Amino acid sequence: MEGKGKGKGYAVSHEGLRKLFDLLSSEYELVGPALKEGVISYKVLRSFEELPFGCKSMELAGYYAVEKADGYFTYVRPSNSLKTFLHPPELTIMRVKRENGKLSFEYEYPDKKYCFFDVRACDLSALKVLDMVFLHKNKNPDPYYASLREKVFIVAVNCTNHTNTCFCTTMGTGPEVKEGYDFLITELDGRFLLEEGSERGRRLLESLENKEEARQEDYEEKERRLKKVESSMKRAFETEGLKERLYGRMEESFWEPVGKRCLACTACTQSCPTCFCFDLLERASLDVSERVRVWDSCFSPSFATLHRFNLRQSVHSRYRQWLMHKFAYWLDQFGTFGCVGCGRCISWCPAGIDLREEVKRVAYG
Amino acid sequence: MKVGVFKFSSCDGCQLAFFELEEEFLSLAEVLSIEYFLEASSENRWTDFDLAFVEGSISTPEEEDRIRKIRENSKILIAIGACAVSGGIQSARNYEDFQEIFTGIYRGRVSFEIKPHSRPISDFVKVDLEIRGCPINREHLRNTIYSLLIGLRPELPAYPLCLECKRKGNACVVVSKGQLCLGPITCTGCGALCPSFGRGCYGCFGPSEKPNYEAFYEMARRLGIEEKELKVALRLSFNGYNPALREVL
Repeated sequence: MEGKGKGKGYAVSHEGLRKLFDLLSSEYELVGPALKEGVISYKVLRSFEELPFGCKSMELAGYYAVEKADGYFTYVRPSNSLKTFLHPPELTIMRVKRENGKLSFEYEYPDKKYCFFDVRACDLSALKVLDMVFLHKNKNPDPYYASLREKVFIVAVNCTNHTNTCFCTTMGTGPEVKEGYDFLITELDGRFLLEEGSERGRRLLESLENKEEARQEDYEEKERRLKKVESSMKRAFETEGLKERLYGRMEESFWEPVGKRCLACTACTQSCPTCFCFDLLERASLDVSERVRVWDSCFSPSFATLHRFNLRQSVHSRYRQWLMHKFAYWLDQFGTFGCVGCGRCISWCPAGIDLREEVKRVAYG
Repeated sequence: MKVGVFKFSSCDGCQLAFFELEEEFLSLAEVLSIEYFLEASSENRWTDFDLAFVEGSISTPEEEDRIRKIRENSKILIAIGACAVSGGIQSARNYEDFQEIFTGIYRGRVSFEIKPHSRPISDFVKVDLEIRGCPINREHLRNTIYSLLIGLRPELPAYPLCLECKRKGNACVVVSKGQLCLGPITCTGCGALCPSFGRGCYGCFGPSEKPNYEAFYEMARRLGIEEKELKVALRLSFNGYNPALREVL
């Protein structure tokens, strides 16, 4: 597992980053952002050239476009999240076979060794949240998640830009990466600051040739760049006491306005880096039955259906469940907010609903 | 288990899902007793059926009589495909002047009687299960047959396409391309086929459970699509006369 950070620092060129990428790709399956059909998304990368350097996403509620920008790590977190790899959208978890009148049970654990190359502060917080959900605050730690998670190598990147839907400063998760990485990259003017975050991160950076030790000015420039992003982001709402305020707003009337606008399409929950809900399906035939775990959503009509009766028939009751979970119930369950302020649910809502506006309206309106 | 597969006004495409099961269909044929299936066999026997799969919509008086007979003789009746479930693409005529189409296109040269409306099976008889789609997904057919053989109630998705589209890792075409997509109000089942190739959903699987049309019209307005244009898209969705959709069209 990655360490606490704040280790030794080096400065490298663009070429140094490529070397690191190649070193990592010899040992890990590399997952990083790439531009595909006009959208920056996490995918398995085959080469360093796939990284969307010099691209920047212009995002609004229900709107997404990519434009050019000066620099390298000019984009923000990708459109999809890392749960795609640690909690895959579809995973066969068990197979039951009948042979000669006897049943046998086979369990399959995913066996992949990922390196997440280019993880931003919001998504590092999201990983911490998922770790709590699946492992640390779970009486039955999830072996499927654990088998993938324990091997992950994390290359974090400090954001030196933001988009309109980002609100990490509100949720206290960014833009600065503080912990939970193996090494950290910050783009400076013409060079990149690398900081060790773990023992294996230290060993890797040590093995890299053509690097300089970081100077005091490099750290100062990093601070300046982070300050600049942070000061350009508006605080969306007050989080202190938010849970208590929301518990006082459970009546239908607070939620009906958003229920009218919401398509209940599930896009918010699926693009959310911490939404973890799943369904278990049985794919049966006469001799083999597969149990498959698939992503589910509290917006799906079958989600709260018990004995063929749906407890949350109205769309507004589903929206309430979702928002309350992120900003209130989650605190009671896991001790943190379920929201990390990445803003994906805002950008990728085809109805153009802005979660920040709904929190403000319901809690503070 | 005695099985019949029947066809009404349709293109025969959904019945092909049986053959798409390939060798599995042959092994199933050993467990099931397929009594009536014109597309599969030249030997057909009219009897009582435990399971009747019905493809096609009802668009002639003869079809109306025949579906009632099938219902009387069948324990479980399963409507397969958009024609049987919703009335099919041919139900687009339900929103037009039938006489005008009949005389304008066919010039009256039709030797049998046609009803002015093409209707789903459920408008005439009780339907126990629906397998949706244009065409149906063979996995849904497979799941349904095995569930019934094992004694489970078949569970097919009733949720919107978007959920499956996201599982596939697609970026939303509404958000990233400004394209109209019927996904948010359409039942999934196709594996989000169209959006996986970068275009909006046509609505082949019909309306999802209680879609929020008001919000959908608003989404379309944001894309610059008028309600009138949108209604045409829905009428041509192969499911335009689905009982849940015709109320809002």
